[in-house]
Amino acid sequence: MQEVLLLKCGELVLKGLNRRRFEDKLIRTVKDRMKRIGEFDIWYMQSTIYVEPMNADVDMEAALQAAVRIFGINSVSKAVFCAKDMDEIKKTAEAYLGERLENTRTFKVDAKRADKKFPLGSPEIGREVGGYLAELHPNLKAQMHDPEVTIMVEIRDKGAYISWERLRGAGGMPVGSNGRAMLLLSGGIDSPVAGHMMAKRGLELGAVHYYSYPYTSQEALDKVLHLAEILTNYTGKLTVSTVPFTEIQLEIQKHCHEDYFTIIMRRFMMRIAQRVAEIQNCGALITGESLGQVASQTMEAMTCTQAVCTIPVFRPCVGLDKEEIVDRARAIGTFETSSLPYEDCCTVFTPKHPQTKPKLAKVEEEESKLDVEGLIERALAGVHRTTLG
Amino acid sequence: MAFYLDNAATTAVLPQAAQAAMAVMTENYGNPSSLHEGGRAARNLLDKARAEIALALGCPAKSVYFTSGGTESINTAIEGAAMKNKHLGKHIISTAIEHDAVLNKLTDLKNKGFEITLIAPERDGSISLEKLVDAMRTDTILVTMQGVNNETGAILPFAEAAAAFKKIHPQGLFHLDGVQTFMKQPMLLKNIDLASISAHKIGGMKGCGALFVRPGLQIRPLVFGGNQESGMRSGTEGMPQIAAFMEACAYRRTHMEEAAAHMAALKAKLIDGVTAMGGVINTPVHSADHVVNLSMKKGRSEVYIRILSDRGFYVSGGSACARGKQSHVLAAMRLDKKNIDAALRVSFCPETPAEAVDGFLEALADAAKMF
Repeated sequence: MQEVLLLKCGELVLKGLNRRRFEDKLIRTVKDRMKRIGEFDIWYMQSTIYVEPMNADVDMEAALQAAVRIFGINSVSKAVFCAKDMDEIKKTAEAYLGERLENTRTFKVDAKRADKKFPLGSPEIGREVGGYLAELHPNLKAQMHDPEVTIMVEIRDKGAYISWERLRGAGGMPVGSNGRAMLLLSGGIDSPVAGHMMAKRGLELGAVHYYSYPYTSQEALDKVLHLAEILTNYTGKLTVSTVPFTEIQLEIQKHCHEDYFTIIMRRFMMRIAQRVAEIQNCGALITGESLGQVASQTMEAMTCTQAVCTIPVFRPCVGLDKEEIVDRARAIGTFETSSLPYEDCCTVFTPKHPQTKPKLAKVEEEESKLDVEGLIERALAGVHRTTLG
Repeated sequence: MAFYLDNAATTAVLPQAAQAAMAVMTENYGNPSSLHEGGRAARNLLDKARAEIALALGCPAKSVYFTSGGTESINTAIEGAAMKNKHLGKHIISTAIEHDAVLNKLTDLKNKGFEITLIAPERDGSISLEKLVDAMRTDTILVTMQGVNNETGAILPFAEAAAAFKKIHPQGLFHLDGVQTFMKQPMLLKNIDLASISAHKIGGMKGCGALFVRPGLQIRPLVFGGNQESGMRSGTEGMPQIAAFMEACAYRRTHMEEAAAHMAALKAKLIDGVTAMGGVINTPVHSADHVVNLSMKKGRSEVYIRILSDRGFYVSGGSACARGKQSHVLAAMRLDKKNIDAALRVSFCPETPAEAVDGFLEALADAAKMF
């Protein structure tokens, strides 16, 4: 009995004239993700994406795990397929679910007749299949409200599908349906979460990472690439641009007042990220900033960093507590890697008393001591790109 | 070309040792337990190797048991001694600057109901004999300590401590962790019941060590099986490593004096150079010739290590087994946090060329400018 996956599409159903474009994006994404697992036949019909393995040794559990991470999918269920014939449907339901029903007390059968040419209506299909199963399993009692098990029978154009569990999908919108944005990816906990949140809103991501060798280690860089690799489970292909940042940090340290070190460094990061974003066709920046979390994430500091950007900066974590961010990091599987103890470039040369309420004019005055354009040019010249996923 | 200055972590295998291992792997590869000629040849080699290690240790051959290395020897000795003497008391003495192999084994025993006293080092990194002796009680069943500290090179008063302990408690057992002492400093086994040594710190291979057990003393093994090593350490003997250990040991034993003089000169030069550029030496005056622990005024160890590595000088921070962690040895010495964070361990072998120190000092001076 060959299992298939049924992926129900979410929000894009609402998108009127753009719907077709979104659907295409979503189907392409599903095809991409499933390619990593095995060979599948994938098609779209009536707001559902069907994922059918081409051979029997495909790991369907891995396919299921991949499917629940795809943005734009509201629910995922494993199902079996049979001919649109009531006898076939009953027998298939028993063969597929009989063993599992042995330990079940209450159940119901939800039927849905999408193919209106099928002779029985939805309530009748449910009653018939339910009656058949109840007879075979005396332990079963039909219960309409909150049963232990809900069996779904769907009569569709191609045939009938019988499924049991329905897993919640990742929700959101198909990656790419809202364009591209550039994530500032550090080795910390917040930025992967921010990237995940914005990818959920349909953004395709690029990532930029700053490293300060020899002040930061090769291990720290590997860690960031590993984080990006985890994110590809949600975002698909992801290119990380690593930017050498040592010279900039040394120059700031040499020429600028210590209290402004962090804020000026952040402004360089934003400038460079925006330049990389332009090159890679991204329309916005994404950061993991959370209001007030550290000195450079106060409202005043954000004013100063925002001032060097002409494209929007998305800060999806801005209103989240650290604990909420940690919970999300755990849920998406980045927390453990983020917690590895390697230093990133934000933690070297940290001033003792960073400015929490920097004034833009003063920051610009300090910054004017530097050859800003030259430093950016040299950093950009040293960018190295790694594509993951 | 890189200069390897991390010989306390591990050493290059000496050419004659590598050759001996190669010959065992490809020619004389028999199992010493086999009855045929191939087994007999292997058994002869094993006997020869045991005799060589015994000669270097100054003990009878039958007191030497081959193990998989320092950590296994240490675990066997401490566990065996504690179990043997547990009816006499539960008190064990050691120092706060021991290797993790000892400290973590002692934590294990603490969890099993033993009482552990760790003697803190003096601020210079040395261990006070007086404090050791003061801690000894009639229910002290085991004293275990290093001969030379692996991070600072401090020489510990093990011989004096062992003598004092035997007076206070003749039935008590004394274990010496000789991993950094063997073939580097004099290591007399008088009053010592158990001693652990390792091959890869003296030009042998990794995965090999030995445990000395005083004649007449019997302790329970950790590993059971085919009763190799007189039942002390079951498992087919790691013959290539053992052959290499023998060769390395034979060479080191016959060249100890000039090796010590050479490394002492390197050490003096390094200390002078570091002091001249404003660095601090964390190694006490009474210390082994092959280890120098130093801190520059600014910066962090791991950054120095990367800069120096790029310049071709391989050193470590604390001990190589504890990468990324703050050194428990330097912390126990109550050094400034700044010094601990910046600490570097430079360690020599007798083959370290003199120009390695000159080049290192130059690279260190440049690295210090980066903070």
